[in-house]
Amino acid sequence: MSLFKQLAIMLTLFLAIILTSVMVLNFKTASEFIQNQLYTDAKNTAHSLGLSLSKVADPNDTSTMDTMINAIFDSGYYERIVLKDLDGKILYERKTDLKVHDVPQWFIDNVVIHNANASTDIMMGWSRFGSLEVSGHTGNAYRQLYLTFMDLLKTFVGIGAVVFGVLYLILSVSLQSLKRIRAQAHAIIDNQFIFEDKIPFTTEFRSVTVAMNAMVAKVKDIFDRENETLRRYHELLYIDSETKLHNRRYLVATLPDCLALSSGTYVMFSFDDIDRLKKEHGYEQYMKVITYFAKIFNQTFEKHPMTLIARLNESDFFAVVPNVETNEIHDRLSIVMDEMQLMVKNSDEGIGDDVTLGCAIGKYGDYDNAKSLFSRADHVVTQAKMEENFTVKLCSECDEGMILGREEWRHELMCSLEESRILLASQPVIQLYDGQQKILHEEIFLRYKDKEGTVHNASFFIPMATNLGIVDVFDRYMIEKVLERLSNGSIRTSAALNLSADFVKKYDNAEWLKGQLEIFHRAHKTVLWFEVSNIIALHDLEAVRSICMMVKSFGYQFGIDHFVLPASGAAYLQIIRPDYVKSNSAYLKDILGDRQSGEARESLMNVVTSLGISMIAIAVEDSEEIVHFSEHGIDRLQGSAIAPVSLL
Amino acid sequence: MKKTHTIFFLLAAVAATLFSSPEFFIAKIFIDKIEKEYGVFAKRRAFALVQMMNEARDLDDMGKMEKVNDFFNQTPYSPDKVTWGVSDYWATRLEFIGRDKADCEDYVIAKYFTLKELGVPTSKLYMTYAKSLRYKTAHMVLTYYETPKSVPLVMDNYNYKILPASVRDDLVPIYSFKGDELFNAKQAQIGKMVPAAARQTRPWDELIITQKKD
Repeated sequence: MSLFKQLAIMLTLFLAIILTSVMVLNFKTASEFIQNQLYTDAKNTAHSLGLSLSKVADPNDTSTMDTMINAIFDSGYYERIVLKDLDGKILYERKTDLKVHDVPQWFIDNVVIHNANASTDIMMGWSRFGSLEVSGHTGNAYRQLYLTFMDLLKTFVGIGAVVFGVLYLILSVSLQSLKRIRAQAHAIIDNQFIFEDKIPFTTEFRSVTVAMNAMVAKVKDIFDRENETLRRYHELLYIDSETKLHNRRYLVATLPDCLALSSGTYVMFSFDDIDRLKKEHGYEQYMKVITYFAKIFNQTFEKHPMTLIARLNESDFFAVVPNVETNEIHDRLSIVMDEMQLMVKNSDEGIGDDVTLGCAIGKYGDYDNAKSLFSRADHVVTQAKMEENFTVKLCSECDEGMILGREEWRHELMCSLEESRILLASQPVIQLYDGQQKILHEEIFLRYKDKEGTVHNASFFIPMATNLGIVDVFDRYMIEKVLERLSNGSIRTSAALNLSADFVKKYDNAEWLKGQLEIFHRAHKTVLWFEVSNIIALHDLEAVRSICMMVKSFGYQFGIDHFVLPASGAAYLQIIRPDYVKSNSAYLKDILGDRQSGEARESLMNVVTSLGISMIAIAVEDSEEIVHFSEHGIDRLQGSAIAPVSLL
Repeated sequence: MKKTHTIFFLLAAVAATLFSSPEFFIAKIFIDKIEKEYGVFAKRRAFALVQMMNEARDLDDMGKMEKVNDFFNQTPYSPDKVTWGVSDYWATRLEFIGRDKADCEDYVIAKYFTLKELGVPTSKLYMTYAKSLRYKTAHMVLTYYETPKSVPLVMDNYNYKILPASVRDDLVPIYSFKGDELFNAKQAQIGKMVPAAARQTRPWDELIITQKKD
């Protein structure tokens, strides 16, 4: 229970007790006063009537006395007047019942008014004649008390409402700072670095805020330093110093992910004997050519943000463009060649003869690995250089895809959904715990079964679905099927679902997913894991952040798949704050295996752990890797060494 | 015979000791107070009052009344205007003893409280307003009713003898009140007590005379 509620309840109780007590005391005083008044009036009447009766007291004829009693009784407000003789025998009595029309019965039943009799002696000369008893009428007392009670009630309810309102305002204002402290505390738990600028007025709150600010500053400082170290290391390790493009090492580390995820187009440019240019025309001319080329090469793929671009060595440049057909790029490569030719031709230094450039373009798919792709590209680029300078050569030998047009593909994919030829496959992610393997979740994959019954990987059809703008249809299909299977118990563990860029970007999809999760969350306790690829996280930061928050609001996990630290550093992780990241074993091994300083490994782990993110190694191929990763503290693993992908 | 008489007297003395009422006395603190406020003569009067009460304590109602009536009637009469400077003032027994002056209500009050302490039932004691035919003035006397229906005995400061009301032709009865009732009404009148409340704040019997416990 929040402090505000506790204080509000306490003060309300306190206020209620005070007001009720004061009201009860007031009522009691009024009641006592009215009762005394009633008695005093009765007594005054008793004495004055008694004195009058003493003048006419006659034991043989009480008629004059009776008349006098009648006169007083009828003209006043009395409940009872009794005349008794010395033996207590009633000589004459007048009384009336208690009837009060404007006072509710419950009030009369619950409020007791003691109507004390006032008595006096009647004298007959020196002798005593008898006694007179007078009781005032309680009706008037009840009416007065009831009016007093209602006035008190209205006043105290009014005062109570005003005081409570004022109290609420004061509490709200003074506890405002506590709300900010709470938000900051939540942010710290959530590994967010929020610095509270407004220092509270209340001393205790101020100390807490100052302490938390100091802690946040320290953690943020650690994160920033580690991030900077990691970024510098990344630059040192993976960036080509001359062109600022990625280097071969980076390409080798990240290519497995790219090949596993997609099919598309590769491009390779190769300068022939670039050393000669450096030797004969100097380093300046060499740099001019290389940087110019790097610039226009980079610009060529601006439209495709998922492109992997790297300089393999001094003379070779490579690009992997996922989900893009060769013909979309081919023309642009010719323009690159023309621009290079023009640049070389217009050079004052006459370097035309010393610059030979060839280009290879071809398709890649899930049948490729880094080695096969490089050797194929190398072969074609050599042919290109042999044919004519500045030639773009298309490799046509590897084209294992279905030869279908766009609309045919659309039709086929939609049919496959209707005919349930889109299958679910899964691969477990485990955590090593005391030598035991505990399954964290099953990552769900889509598989396409063609009409002949051959099952293809996602990379076979997802690029085309992406191209056709219908990939989110497959996301929804996968989510629906998985939730259905989790509901009917055919999937028993937690499941991890990958969301595509198109799915994340569209607001409708996020709303649809929220609706699905609300229904599922009400009925099932199973924790779901959602993940997006690193490239999506980098390019659609805001969309990913909001979907991550939505997923976390259900208590589910959110992660980033195929995590590779970008040149810009880990700031985006701080914004998204995923629960976990999955990195390819090739990339992790490269970083963990840094023997030069060991700083990269430390920094990566510090950055990740300071944000409360857990690391999962994927594509773990053999048991040696399992040992290697667990030695470095990475105990969450996925890959064929653990269990292969199998159809559900 | 002589021996028999001795035994009889001894037994009578023992019985008197065993069955007599406890002795009255005034605590030193009150004696000091009386002396301080009213002087040494007042202190002697207080002692005389206690002595009188001790003499009367084992008498019957009549005996007690005679003792008390005689004792207080020794005090000279003085109107309130002279004694207290106001037209009507009801003095307490302490003020009575202290000032050694009183008017008719003061005699009644002093006699009433003393008789009450001596054990005369208050149900028999009435304060009666009467008219003095001799002095043609409003008057108050203390009356004693042996039974509710009997003719009362009158204790008056004009006529020192206790006489039945039937022979007091000089007095015309007006109205009678029970002692405590009238005190309370008077108390309320002078603003010291909420009307009808049972709490009496003015110490009418502030001259505290207590009885020794056996």
